[in-house]
Parts: sequence; C-alpha cells; structure tokens
Amino acid sequence: MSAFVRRSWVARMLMASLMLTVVAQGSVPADGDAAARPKLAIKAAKILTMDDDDTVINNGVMLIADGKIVAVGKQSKVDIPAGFDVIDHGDDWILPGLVDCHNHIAGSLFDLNDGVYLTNPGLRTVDVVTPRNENLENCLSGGVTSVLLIPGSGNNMSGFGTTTKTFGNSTEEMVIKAPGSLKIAQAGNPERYWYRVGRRFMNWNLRQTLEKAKLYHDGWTAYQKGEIAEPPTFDIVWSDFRDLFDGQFPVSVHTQIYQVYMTTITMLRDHFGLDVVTDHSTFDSYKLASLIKERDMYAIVGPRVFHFDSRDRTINGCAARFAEQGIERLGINTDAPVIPQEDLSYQATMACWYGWNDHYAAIKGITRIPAESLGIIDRVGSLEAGKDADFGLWTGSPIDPRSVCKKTFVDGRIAYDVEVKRRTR
Amino acid sequence: MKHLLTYFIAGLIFAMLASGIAVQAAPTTDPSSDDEVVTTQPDKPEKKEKKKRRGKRGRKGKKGKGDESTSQPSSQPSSQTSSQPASQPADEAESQPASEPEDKGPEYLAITGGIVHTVSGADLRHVTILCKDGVIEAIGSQVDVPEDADVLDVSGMHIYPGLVACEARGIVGREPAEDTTNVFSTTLRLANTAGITTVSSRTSAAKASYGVVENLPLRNDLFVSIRYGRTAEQRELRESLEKVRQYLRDLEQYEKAKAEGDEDAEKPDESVAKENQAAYKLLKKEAVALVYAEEKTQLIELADLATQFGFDLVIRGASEGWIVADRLGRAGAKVIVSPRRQVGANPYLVQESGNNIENAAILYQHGVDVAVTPSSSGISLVGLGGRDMQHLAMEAAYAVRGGLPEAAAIESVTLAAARALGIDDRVGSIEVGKDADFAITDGPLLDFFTQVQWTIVNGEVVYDKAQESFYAHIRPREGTDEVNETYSFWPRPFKPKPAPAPGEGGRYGEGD
Repeated sequence: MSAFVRRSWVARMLMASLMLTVVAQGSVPADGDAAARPKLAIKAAKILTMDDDDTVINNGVMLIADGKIVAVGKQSKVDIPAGFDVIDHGDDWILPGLVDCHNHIAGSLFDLNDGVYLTNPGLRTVDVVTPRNENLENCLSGGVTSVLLIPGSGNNMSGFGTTTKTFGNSTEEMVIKAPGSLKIAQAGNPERYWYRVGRRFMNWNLRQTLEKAKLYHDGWTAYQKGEIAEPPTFDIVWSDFRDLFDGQFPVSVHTQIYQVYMTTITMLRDHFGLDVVTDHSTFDSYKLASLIKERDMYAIVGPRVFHFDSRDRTINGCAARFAEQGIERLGINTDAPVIPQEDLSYQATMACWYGWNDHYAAIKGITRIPAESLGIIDRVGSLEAGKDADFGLWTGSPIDPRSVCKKTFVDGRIAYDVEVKRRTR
Repeated sequence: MKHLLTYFIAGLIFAMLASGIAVQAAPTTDPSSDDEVVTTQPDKPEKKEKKKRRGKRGRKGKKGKGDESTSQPSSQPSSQTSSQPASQPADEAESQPASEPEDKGPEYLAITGGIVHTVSGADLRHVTILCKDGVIEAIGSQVDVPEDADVLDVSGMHIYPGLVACEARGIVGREPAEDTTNVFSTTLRLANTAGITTVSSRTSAAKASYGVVENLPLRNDLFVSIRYGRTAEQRELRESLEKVRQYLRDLEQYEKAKAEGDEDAEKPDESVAKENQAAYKLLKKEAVALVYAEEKTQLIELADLATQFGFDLVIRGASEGWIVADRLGRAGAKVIVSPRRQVGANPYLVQESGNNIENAAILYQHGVDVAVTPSSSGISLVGLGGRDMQHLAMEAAYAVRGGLPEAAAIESVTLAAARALGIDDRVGSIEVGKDADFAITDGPLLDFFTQVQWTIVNGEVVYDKAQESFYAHIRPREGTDEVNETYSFWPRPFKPKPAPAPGEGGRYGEGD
C-alpha cells in the first residue's frame, strides 16, 4: 500500500512539473517578442478614430507597429511600408478599444471591500490586479481594452483605483496608471457599514479625511517650495493623495440620487478642487445636469440606464436626460460584474433606446469620454498615430446588438479572436 | 383592483343569469370557429358585458385604452369605402341574436398603411388589415372597410404580430389567468409597451392586455412538465412511458381484434392510463413535454427519450444545445433559449461546454424550432435596462449577433414562440383567422432605436405610446402632441451660484 502511495506521489510530482513546463512555455509569450507584436496594416470599411475632429474614415487603413499606432488614414492616401503584413478586413469597422471607468473584475473579486474602517485611504487596487482572469478574458470579447479597476463601494473611501489594460501577462504590462483614481462612495452601499451610518456622518467623514490629506499635501508642497525648512513626516496613509491634489488623477465617485450628487459636486469639486468623475449618475441625478455643465465635469452613467420617475410617471433614460440638457462629456459604464464587462456597448445601446438619440455620441461615451475623464486619453480612447494599438474589429456599430466584435487588439497583440476562441459574445 | 375585478365578475354572472337567451345563442358564426373548439363559446356573453364596461370606463374618463376612433382621422379612409355596400359584415350583423339590444354588431378595426411583417409569409405593403371581433378578417389592398370600423392609420410604421413572451413571470397570473391577473398592473402595462400581447407562464398562455379582462386566457394545460435529471426521475418517467406505450399497443390490438369480430379479446387495464396521466398525455400527443435542461448530457438523454417514445418536446434553457444541436434537431425538439444568458464552460472538461452566442443560430441550422426569451423573465423598474421582457426584441437581436438570420430572430419572438407553446393556431403571425394582436413599431423590430407605438390585443388598442406618459417623451411620434410635459416640475426652485474656480471654495470654503 505504502509503495503504491509513494509511486503515485512521484508520478504526481512528475506530472505537475511537466505541466508547469508546458504552461511556462505555452501560454506566456516572451514580452517584447517581435512575433507577438507584429507590424500590421489593417484595412477596413470604416475607421471611427474618435479623435478631436471626430474623423470617420471610410475605406481606411491603420498601421500598427511595436504596440503603437503608426498611421491611420484612407487606403488611397496611406502608403503601406515594406515589412507590414496586410490584413484586409473588408466590411468591418475599426473602433478604439472600449474604455470603462467603473470596473471591479480586473481583480479577483475577493478583494472588493476592505471594510476595516469607514474610510480606508491609502489602499491600492494595483496590488490585486489579476491578469488573464476569466472575467477579463470574457470582457475582451466585447472589445473592452482599458478599465479603471476600483475597489467596492462598501466604504466611504475605499482606496485608489488603477487604470489598466484588460490583456497582458503581468501587472506591469497591463497597468496604465496607478493610482488611476481615488474611489469615494457616497450614500447607498456605505450606509450598510456597521451601525448604519447616515449621510450627514458620511459627508463629514469624507470631508475630515480629505482635509487631513490636503493638510499633508500642503505641508509637502510648502516644503518643496522652500517655504518651510523641515520636511513633514512621511505618512503612508496620505502619500498617494499628493498626486490627487496635484491633479494627476481624478476622484471616481459612486454617487447617485439628487441630493448625494449635489454633495459630490459642491464638496469634492467646488470645495476641494478635485477632478471628479461621477460614476453611476443615475436615479434623478440628471436633474443636476446644469451644475455639471457649468463646471465642465464628466458625467458617467451606469449601471442603471433608466429612472422611473413616479411623480410624472415617466421612464427616463439617465444618459438621455443629461444629453438633452447639453452635457457633452457624457459616458457610460457597467460597474462590472453588476453588468458583465463585455456588455459595455450594450449599456450604450440601452442609453440610446431610452432616448439618447445621438448614436455617435454614444460610441464616444464608451471610448473617448471615459479615457478623457480618467486622464489616459494620451494613450487610449481614440485611434491616432502614437497611441496604443488598442482596438476592436467590429462587424458594424458597437451600439447595435447585432454587431459582433471579431477581434480585439491590445498593445498591438491579438487578445481575442472570434475564430479561435468562441465565447459568449 | 380587486374590487373592480369582483364587481366585474359579479356583473358577469348577473348578466348571464338575466339574459338566458344570450347564453343559448352563444354559438354564433365565427370565422375562426373551425379550428376553435374551446374558447369561442363562452366569449359571446362576455362580449356584451365588455361593451357595458367600456362605456362605464369612458364616463369615468379613465385613461388606459385610448379611443382610437376619436384620436384618429377616420373620415378619410372610411369615406373611400362608404359607397360600397358592406355585404359580408351586414350578414354577420343580422345573424346576431336580436335579444342583445346594446350589441350593435361586430366590432371592426382597420389598420391601414405601414409595412406588414406577416412572419408566416412575405412582408406586405400598401395593405389594410381588417379585424372583426378580435380576429383578423381580411388582409389586402382591396379590403372593404365597413363604415362603422375604427380606422388606425399607421403609415410609415412596421406592423408585426404581437410578441409572444415565453416563460414570463409576474405579467399575467397563473392558471386560471382570468382570476389571478391584475390587468391594471404596471408590469402588464410595460409588457404592452414592449409589444407583448401573449404571455406564457408555466403551463398556461394568456393575453396581455392592459385594462381588459375579457378573452384573457388563451389556453391552459399547454405542457406536461417533466423532470428527467436525477437517476430516480429518469427511471420513473421511463417506466411510466413504457407502461403507457404497452397499454396503447394492447388497446390497439384489442380494438383491432374487436373490429374483426373476436369476442374473446380482453380489454387492457384502463387504470394504466389514469395512473400515468403525464405519460399518457404525451404519447397520445395531447400535451407537449416541457423540460428545463441546460447540460448537453441531459439534452441528449431527452432527445433520445423523445425519439424513442415519440412525443413532442420543448426544452427551456438549452444553453449547451449548440453542442448537441443535431440530436435535438432529429428529435424534433423545440427550444426556448436566452441568447444573452451566460453559462461558464466547465473548466474540468476537455470537451466543449458552457453557452455560446451562436447557440440559437446553430440550433436553427439543425432544424430546431428556436424561441427566444430573456433570462430575466419579468419586467423590472429597478433601472438595469435591457435584460428583461421589456427588451424581448433586443434579446432576439442578440441571437442575430450569433448568426441567426433576422427573419428567424423575428420569428423566434412571435411565431416560433407560439409554436413552442402550441398556440400558433391563434397567435404568432398576421394571417386571416388568427387573433388580431399586433405590435406596431416605428422601425424594424430588431433595431435599437425602435419603440412600439401601438399594441393591439384582440382587435383593441391597448397601448398607444403617445397617450402613455412612460415613453411618450422619447422620440415622440410625429404629429402627436407630446402628452408628457418634460420637467413640468422643473427647473429647480433655486438658482445655483456660478461655479467657483477649482479649489477656491464652495459651500464649505472660507467665509462661505
């Protein structure tokens, strides 16, 4: 019996080591390998560049090399240099990789809320980015290439988010910016913390936390300017807030419902002077669109898409209501896994169904606008020379649920191919 | 709501008692009476009651069912036909019993203009659909529209058969639907806004018509729900089927022998049929088996069972159907699938598993009748849009994403769904003799900008987008006054201060 056990143990060890070798050789291509990031010239019927001029190129070609876009233009005007493999995608559309500024699935989902205190400043989601997890692999099939991984909304302040690609073999490869945002949650979920804290306390709590952070930042700024001789004591709790107050990244706020939304604007934007990205923006927060407009803020709507107003018995598309009041910096999010990440485009579809009548603006709301709001527009969110080669090849408009994303490229590499890996989308 | 229902039922009973003649005269001529066995007979007395109720509702000024004859310019279309003698309808009117003084004859609704997507056949343009007493009487370009017909001009719109919502919850009640349904519920209203006119819940199908109780149940006992998952369940069902099959064979032998004059023939034990009701119904083709099954192994087993015993099979779920589509196709199975439903692949299996966006398309290619229903079977106002019955058409559009032809996708929420429920003789397509149920949309059904403008159930307009505040403000219909004044209680009662520069203090700033 013991011999059998021992033999089987040896066999298992052998198997395990064999499998490890296979995994190491098979699934992880060497980074920077030229074969993994080929030089490609991709022809397509339509290229939605989503650039400043809203250029749409019919019969276009896009050149990519070393994970970057080299050129985008009409097939008749762009010369394809030697060494570029030509892929003709006929009737398909090329779109920038979709960007979502509210995502939880780039982590393991077991690290959503660290509810130790009601505010947990200093925590970073960059620690929990989980490359190639199943949810990320699914999300590539929906053409989503960049997301903001943020902690959950179980606390008032739950730490720093990370803007990351959805494809890559390591955190280093994937991460665009860390910290990518500060996550704040007002009302709703944090109310469930311990003895049911109310909104007055939560607002005070946020203010006092941010005031402390600002003091720390001001102290260091004064030291760096030479106004004070002694450097303040280093504090790991507040160190990341320095970039926040310098405007390096925004606050992404879980905020919805009129009164809460108002506090977001007046407290975070007006009082603290922070760049604010309002996630959710649902329920009746569209009634504050004029405030958003005055301040040129970004309103990102989701995962709810409509609000039933029982007072006038109407069903209002949240995005539609913002749009009709002249909000142009209007985006869509999913709050994955509340809505599966690959359904980002379908969220925009629904925004359209519920009255956002601008089809193009809706596409912008899932590409350029979220990238702008997160301050990563220099790398992703549109198709322009010099930017990351993140894009999707679609059979038509991504807003139309009948369109398929056939291929997704991240950093010039094929991250998803419908012919190779047929998934749920 | 309960009171209304109670009063109505009481009134119904009273009316039936008071005019016994009406009950006697019930079996009148009806165009659909040939294939209509169960439901037409009790309809007629109810019809009379409906008239009464409708008048009452009109006096109260209760909103709900827009009176299309007043809102629509009916003079023009009817003037064209007024000179023609409406001989056929007149005959019908005469055949009505004279004892119903308030019943002025059949109710007509003529739908003119629009593109008619019949689903069962070609798309038609420039035709008129004439409905009589809730049934489609005629479709064509030369239809004689009676003078008293209500005319609905839907030029520029698309006319689809009313959508059939399979496996819905919370829209109509359980059997008996006429007693358990709250016809004034918001969910039912929303179902109508989605163009849904027929709803199946568990084993019964009913009409979804806001504010109308009459003709609500469509058919009961659609299915025999069977379980065929665990070993014990499998053994039980199989034994039961075998017994009944043997019984039916014996019975056939017996009847044959008797016909040949064999006096000694022994009649088989009838108790077998009684004890195995479900199996008996299945093998006699009196009912269809409805099974919830997702996994391919289970699907194969079911397909084999159906082939072996020869009964009709409807499978709800079938998310792994694409793997065994050929088997399901050979078994003649029908499926009710949710294309958006996500079932992860089993990581421990080398073979294919889990769902696939192409599921509906692959099943369709293998001859399986594909009906589509969202995986979230109710209608919710929570705000997470696009995942429930409100967007039944979008669910079908997702099947198109997976390769299902558009025509098949439209069929999957109309005729194929009706076939899966076994009610395709009444609903699911626009054909003469079928129920006058329509979803009239402002664009192609599968387009994401398309909304339903009118929903018609049993020849009555139960939803008019312009008359209902829910969606009237979204892309308002041309030529209609927008009922809902957007933001009637808005702008806000205060003027906010101009925005301060970032960091210069707002509400909490210095000296503020």
